[in-house]
Amino acid sequence: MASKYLKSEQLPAFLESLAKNARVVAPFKRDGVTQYEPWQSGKDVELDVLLAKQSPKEYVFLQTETYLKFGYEMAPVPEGAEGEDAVPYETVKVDPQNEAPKQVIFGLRPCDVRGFVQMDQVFGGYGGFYFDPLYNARREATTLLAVTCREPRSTCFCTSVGGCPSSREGADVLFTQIEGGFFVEPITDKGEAIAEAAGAALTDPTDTQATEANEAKLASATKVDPAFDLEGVRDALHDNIADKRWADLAMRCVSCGTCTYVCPSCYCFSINDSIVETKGDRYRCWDNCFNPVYTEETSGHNPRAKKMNRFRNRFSHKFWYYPDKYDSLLCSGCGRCIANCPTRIDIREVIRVMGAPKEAPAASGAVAASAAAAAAVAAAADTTTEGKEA
Amino acid sequence: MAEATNNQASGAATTGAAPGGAGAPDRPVKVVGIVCNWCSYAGADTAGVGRFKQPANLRLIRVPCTGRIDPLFALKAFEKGADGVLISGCHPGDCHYSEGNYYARRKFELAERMIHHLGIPPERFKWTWVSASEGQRWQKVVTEFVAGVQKLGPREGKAL
Amino acid sequence: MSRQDHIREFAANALTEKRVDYFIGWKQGYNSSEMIPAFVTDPAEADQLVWNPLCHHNLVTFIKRNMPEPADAKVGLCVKGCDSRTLVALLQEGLVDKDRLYVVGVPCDGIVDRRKLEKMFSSEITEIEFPERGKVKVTTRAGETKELDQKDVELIGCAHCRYPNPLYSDNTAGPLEKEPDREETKPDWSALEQYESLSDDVKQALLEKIYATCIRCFACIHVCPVCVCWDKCVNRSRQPELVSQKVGPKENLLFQMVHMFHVAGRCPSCGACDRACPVEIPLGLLHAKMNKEIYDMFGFEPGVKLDEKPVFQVFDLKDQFGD
Repeated sequence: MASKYLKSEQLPAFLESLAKNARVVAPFKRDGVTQYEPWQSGKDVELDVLLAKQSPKEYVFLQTETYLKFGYEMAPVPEGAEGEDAVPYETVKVDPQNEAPKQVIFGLRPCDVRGFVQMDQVFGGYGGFYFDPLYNARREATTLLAVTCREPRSTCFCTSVGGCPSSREGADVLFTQIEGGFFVEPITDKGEAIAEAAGAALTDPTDTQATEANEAKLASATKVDPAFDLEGVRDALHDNIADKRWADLAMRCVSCGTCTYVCPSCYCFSINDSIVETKGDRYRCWDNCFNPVYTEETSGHNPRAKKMNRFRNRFSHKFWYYPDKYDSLLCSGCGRCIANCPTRIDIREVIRVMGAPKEAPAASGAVAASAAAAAAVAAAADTTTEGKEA
Repeated sequence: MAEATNNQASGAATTGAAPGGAGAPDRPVKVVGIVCNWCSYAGADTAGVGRFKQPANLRLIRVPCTGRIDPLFALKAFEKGADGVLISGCHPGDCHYSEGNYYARRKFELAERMIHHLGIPPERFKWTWVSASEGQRWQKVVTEFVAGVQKLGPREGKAL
Repeated sequence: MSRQDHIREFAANALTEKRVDYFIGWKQGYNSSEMIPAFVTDPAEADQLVWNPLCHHNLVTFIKRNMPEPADAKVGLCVKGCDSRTLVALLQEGLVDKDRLYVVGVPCDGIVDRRKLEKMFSSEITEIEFPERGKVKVTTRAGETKELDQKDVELIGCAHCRYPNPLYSDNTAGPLEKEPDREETKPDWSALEQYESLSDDVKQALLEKIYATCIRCFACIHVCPVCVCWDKCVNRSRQPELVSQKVGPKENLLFQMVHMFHVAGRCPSCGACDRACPVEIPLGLLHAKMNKEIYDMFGFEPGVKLDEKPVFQVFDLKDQFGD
């Protein structure tokens, strides 16, 4: 699929054209805080702040999603009914909700996109057995326009978990900021459709621009500090499950759940009914493994009663249980959990300590660093030259 | 008992159209009353037995003592769409449990100030004392309070 | 000897003498712009403890119910002036055991608001230094360096701090800071004035906007040193659904009001909730208003005197509220 070029001045017009057919969501800065918000004409997209406070998952996996509305009603008594038939009785009226408006998310980072790819496996559910219609309908109606990271933060570690600041995995279109505009690479059919619809806003890029984009991609990959060596982490977590160091690492955790709510790939939820008078709705809302009542049983027993158990669960889930089930990690290396944690608990430190094989000292930063850097650059080169299909 | 009071009152219900401004729904206001069992609930009963006319917009919730009332009851009522909240109990010194209302009045005073802080007008929240024998006072309190809420009209709360 | 040296010495001694099982202080996080709570068990590790105006964490959080590990651990900790008020508030109600605590008071002359700094730079802050007292030197990842006056970038509460020195401690790290004349200067609530002057409708619209961004992560509640119900929080109750689990402006504000009312009379506005909020909701304004009204009603400041009871746990026959 042919690459395109989008001038910076053309960006509002481009988004405007997208907004004709779909809701456009993009990062905006309000009172100094960057968040994904529905786009409105006149608002400036914020791309200098690398990551919005929250991941864009809330637009596909809503924090509160109503499954169905229900109400109690008296059934009408048929005319001329007699005897038992004439006795009014109550019925329950159910109104399922499955609204999935078309939307385009612009300005999300490759790690945010990867979060969706990882979540897809869960809601697509084991070959469709646990298929979630609401999530998938929204996912289907959503187009992801990713933007290559220019200045990775010190908390970024996508290259350590097999990602890359210019990864195409899962994205429909990849934008790369170059001099005066964006180098635009449609990747999927959805992305191609977007590029076609944009029409004149997109022009054909020159060869220099293509080279510049490639250089930008390579440069950003080298700016991500390698955090740990993924090799053997799963087995080490398995071996270290009863290790005392878990308790030490969990000491400063306050068990709040911020990390899971800002995470692009955490997907836990709970289901609740809310009833006022005779009408109610059944909805799901985000939940998290740090919630002390998350695992509490009706008996009152809580298998993860201590904060250390809950703490261990999050990291083990991301790097051990989930990989065992779906053969991929549940972490895209965005580093939001580090930057937003009230006590700055560092997932990289946890994996460095607990993901290191028992007895052996934790892999020294330098060794892991050079290896991961090389791998990242190789990966970046790979994706930019071959342009593999997501 | 409460039903009796309501039935008495409904005949003379002051459910006039709400002047709540443009876009405000045209419906009678809903006022939640949280009252203690021993004084205000009995006072409402006295008012009913005495056939004192009072607005029918009030829904009473009976609690053992004003000391039992958490300020959050009022907030939750607002969250669920009440247009006004009235709290009433025994006069200080008359508490059935000796001191419940002494604690309560401190809480209510703070609650009142915080509710106003949230942008809910003072007319929509009131707390007072009505004893079991004060049927007429109950009538006056309810009538005045509901009239105040009615004047503001149904609430379309944006926050809480 | 600097305050930092004092802290290290007290920590090392307490650990060596087995007076405590572990000592909680502050240490550097993933770079010098972030300080994080440190849990030291080995006297030899006491030299990782630091003290500088970035040490904003209220460590009293880590001794509240269900936090110490094991539950009966003897704990040493550092407290600043505002932190000590939360500790006193817990002690007033017997919510922590005084005998299991060893408290090092750290007189404080103001804490830097890292979020204020973040908004001043486009690039990420990677280094913060304090070349001299009252000066902050910030370096960003892009290499930009800037020196600022500490007073300009302090937390809201610091400018009018009435208790810079800890009100309860076993040892004090260095000389006391200058105390304001508390008879002369009353608590300052000027930060609230702008909000209070708004009309009811504007207040509602503003609150709707602010609380729409809340994600109910419970950071404010769990990080609050005086919020102690923990796993029995009414906000967690699903059956019955006492506080709606839905996320929306109304529900979120009720959620916050639950927190606020439950810490009334105990919360000294230490600001821990404010700093923990990942979406930067100014929660402190709600709590400041509550404290303002409590001061207005009773002349009471939470967590100041050990032998005092919180105002909502006692009553006075002479109270003049209601009609």
